[in-house]
Amino acid sequence: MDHHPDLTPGVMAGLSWYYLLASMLNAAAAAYVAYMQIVSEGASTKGLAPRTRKLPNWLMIAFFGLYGLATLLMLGRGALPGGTLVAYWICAAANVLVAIAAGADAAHFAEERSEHAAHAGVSDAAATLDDHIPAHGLGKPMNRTLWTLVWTTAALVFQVMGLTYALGAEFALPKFMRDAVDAVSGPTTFFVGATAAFVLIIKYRRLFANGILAWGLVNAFLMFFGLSMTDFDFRDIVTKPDNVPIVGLIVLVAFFTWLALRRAVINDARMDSGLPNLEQLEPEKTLVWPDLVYTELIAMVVETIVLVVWGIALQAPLEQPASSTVAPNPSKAPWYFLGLQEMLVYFDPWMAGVVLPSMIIVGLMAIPYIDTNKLGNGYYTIKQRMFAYVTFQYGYLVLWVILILLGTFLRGPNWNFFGPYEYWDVHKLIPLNNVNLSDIFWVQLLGTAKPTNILTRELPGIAISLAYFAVIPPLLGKFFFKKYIAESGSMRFYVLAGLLLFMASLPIKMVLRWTINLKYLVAIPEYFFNI
Amino acid sequence: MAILEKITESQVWKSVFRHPMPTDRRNRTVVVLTNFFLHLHPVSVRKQGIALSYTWCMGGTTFFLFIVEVVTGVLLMFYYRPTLEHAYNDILALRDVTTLGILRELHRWGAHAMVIAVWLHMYRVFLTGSYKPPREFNWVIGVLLLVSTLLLSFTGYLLPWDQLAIWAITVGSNMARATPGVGVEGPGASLLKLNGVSLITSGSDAKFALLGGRSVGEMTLNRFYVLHCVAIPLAATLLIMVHFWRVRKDGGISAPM
Repeated sequence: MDHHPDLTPGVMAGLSWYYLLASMLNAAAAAYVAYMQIVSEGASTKGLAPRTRKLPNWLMIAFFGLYGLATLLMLGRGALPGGTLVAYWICAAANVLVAIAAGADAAHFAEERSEHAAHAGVSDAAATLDDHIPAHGLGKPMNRTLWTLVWTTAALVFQVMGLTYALGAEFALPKFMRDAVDAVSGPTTFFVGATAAFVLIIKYRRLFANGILAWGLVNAFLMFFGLSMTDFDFRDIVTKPDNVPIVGLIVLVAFFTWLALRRAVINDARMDSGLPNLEQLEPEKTLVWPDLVYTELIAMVVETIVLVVWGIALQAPLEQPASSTVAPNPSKAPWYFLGLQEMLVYFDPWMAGVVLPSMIIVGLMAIPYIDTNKLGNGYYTIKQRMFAYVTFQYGYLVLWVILILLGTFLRGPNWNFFGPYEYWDVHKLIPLNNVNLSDIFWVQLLGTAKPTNILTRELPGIAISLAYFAVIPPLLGKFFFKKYIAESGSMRFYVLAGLLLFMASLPIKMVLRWTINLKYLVAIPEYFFNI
Repeated sequence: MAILEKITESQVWKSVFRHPMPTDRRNRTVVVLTNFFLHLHPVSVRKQGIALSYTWCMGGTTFFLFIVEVVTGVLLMFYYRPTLEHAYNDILALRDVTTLGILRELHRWGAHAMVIAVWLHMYRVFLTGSYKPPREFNWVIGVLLLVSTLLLSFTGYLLPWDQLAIWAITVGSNMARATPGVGVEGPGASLLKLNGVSLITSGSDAKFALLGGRSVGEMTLNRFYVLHCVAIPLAATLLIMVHFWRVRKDGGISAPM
C-alpha cells in the first residue's frame, strides 16, 4: 500500500531537529538531576547540611554560546552554503556536552561522597541538600547518580538518532513492526486498553506521581512519535492543520492529569499523617498588584507569542469550495465533537447526537448538587472523594478524550477503523454481521419467526431497557449507596443513578457489540426508535 | 526625568490615574480599587490560590482567548461577506492578498486553543472540588459557558464555506433531524399528526429551524453568521459577567475552604 514515500528530505530534516529537541530536553533533565536542589512540594529542609554542588558557569556559557552561534549561522544561511548543517552539529555538540558533563559530575559527586563516608567511618554520610528530598508520601529519595546517567544516555541516544537523519541515513520504522501494530489495533483493543491503563494509573497512582516514571513516559512518547513520523500514513493524518490542536490536547491533558494526580497523592499522604495539605501550607494573602497582575500580564504575553508563532507556522486549512454533491469520505464533524460521532457506531443519531449529549450537559450541571461530600473543597485529593474523582476522570479521559483521539486519528473512510500506520483505503471492507436482540431472541434462541406485532417483537429489548433503569438503581441503593441515601436523600440518589446508567450505557453497548454483535436492543425503525 | 515628572503631574494624567505609582502598600490597594479593569480583582488573594501548579491559569487563559477571538473576529468581519457568492473567495483573498495575512490563523487557532483551555479549566475546577458549596451555581454557569464555547466554534466552522465546512456542519446538523418529537427522523415525530397530516416534516422540523432549509445552504450560512457574530457572543458575554461576579461573591478564587 505504499503510494507515497515514507521518508523525504524534508521529513528527515524535520526529524533531525525533532530529535535534537528531545536530546536537549534529556540533557536538561540530566543537568537538573545532577546539579539542582531537588526539594519536592511540602518537603522540609530543616536540619540538612548545606549543598556543595551547583550548575557550573562554564557549562551554561558554553551551552548558550553554542546555541547562539548556531542561531547566527541559521540566520545567515543564505550567504553560507552548508550553514544549516554546521549549525546542527554545533547544537548537537552543545547537547552532548551538557549531557556528558552532567553524567561525569554526578559520578564524581557520588565518588567524593563515598570517600567522605569512608573517612568519617560511617556507613553513609549525613543527608545534605545535595540529596533528593522527596515529597511526603512519594517513597524514598531517588539515586541521583543513577538517574543522571540514565537521562544522559537518553540524551545521547536521541542525539545520535538526530545526527543519523542529519547525515542522510534513511531509517524508517520497520514494516513488520508497523504491520504488527496495525494488526493488533482496533476499536476493541484501543478502548479496552485505555480503560485498563486508566485503572492501572488510579490503582498505582503513587508510582505514577513519581517524576522519574513520568519523565520516562515522556521519553517513550517522544520516541514513539518520532518513529511513527517515518510512516507516511501516520504523518499524513497527524500533521493535518486541524489535527495539530489535538496533539496539543494530548500533551496538555496528560501533563495536567499527572500534575493533579501527584498533588492529590502527596496531599492524601500528608493528611493521613496529620499534616496540613499543600494548599494549606501558605495560608497568608498577597496583594493582587503586583503578584497577580504581573502573572496575568506574563501569561497574556506568552499566549500571544504562542498564537502568533502557531499562526505563522501553520496556515488555517481551506479546502475546495463547498459542493453539496461531492461528499468527502470520511465526513467528519469538528474534532471536539468526534467523541459524539464515534458514539454513532453504537447508537442511533437520536441517542448519540441528542439524548446522550443532553445528558452530558445536564449531568455536568448536576454534579455540585449530587456530590454532597463536603471533603476535598479547594485542594487536590483522591482518597477523600474516590467515587467522584474516578467517575469524572473516566468520563472525561476515556469516554471523551480517548474517543476523540479514536475518531480523529483512527477512523477513516466509511468510518472504518484503520491502524495508525494503515493506508486509508476507501474500498476497505468490514463485514457487518450485527443482529438485533429480537433476532437473537426469537430466531436464534426460540427458533421461531419474529412476531409481526411490533411490541411483541421487541418485548425482550423493551423489558431489558426498562429493567436497566428500574431495577438497577434500587439494587445500587440497597447494596452500595446506603450511606449516600441516608445522608443526601433518595431524590439525589435517583438522579445520580440515572446519570450513571446513561454514562454506563455507552461502554455496555460497546461490549455487547464486540461480544454478541448486537446492533439494537430495541429496534423499531418504523418509528425511528432504536436503542 | 523632568519630562516624565511633568507628564505624571499634568492634569490630563491625573484625571486618568487618580493616585501615584503603585509602589507602596497603600497605592497598590488603591490601584485595584480605582481602576475599572483591575477591579474585577479583589485587593488581595490567597497566595496558594494563585500558585500556578494549583490553579493552572486556564480560566484566565480562556477569557484572554475570548478577547482575542472578539478582536480578530471584528477585523475578519471587515473582509468577509456571508453569501454564497463571496464567502469562499473572501477567505481566499484574506490568505493570498491581505497584508500580514495571519488574521484567520489567529482566529482559528485561538478558537481551538479556547476549547482546550475551557476543558482544562473545568478539569481543574473539578479536581480541586471547587464546584462545592458555595460555588455550585457558578459551576452551572460554567457549563453553560462550555456549551457557548462549543457552539461558537461549531457555528464558525461553516463560515469559510469550503468542503471541510459544509460537510462538518452537515454531519453535525443531521443529529437535529433525529431529535425525539421535533426531528423528522426522531422517535415519536411520526405520531404527531393532525387529521392524518404530519406536523413534523423535513420542512418544519428541528433541523430545518437550525439550517434555514432542508440542507446546508445560503440561509444556513446567514443563520450561522448571525449566531456566530452576534447572538452567541452576546449570550457568552452575559454569562462571563455573571461568572466573574459570582467568583467574587462566592468566596473569591478557589482555595481550601
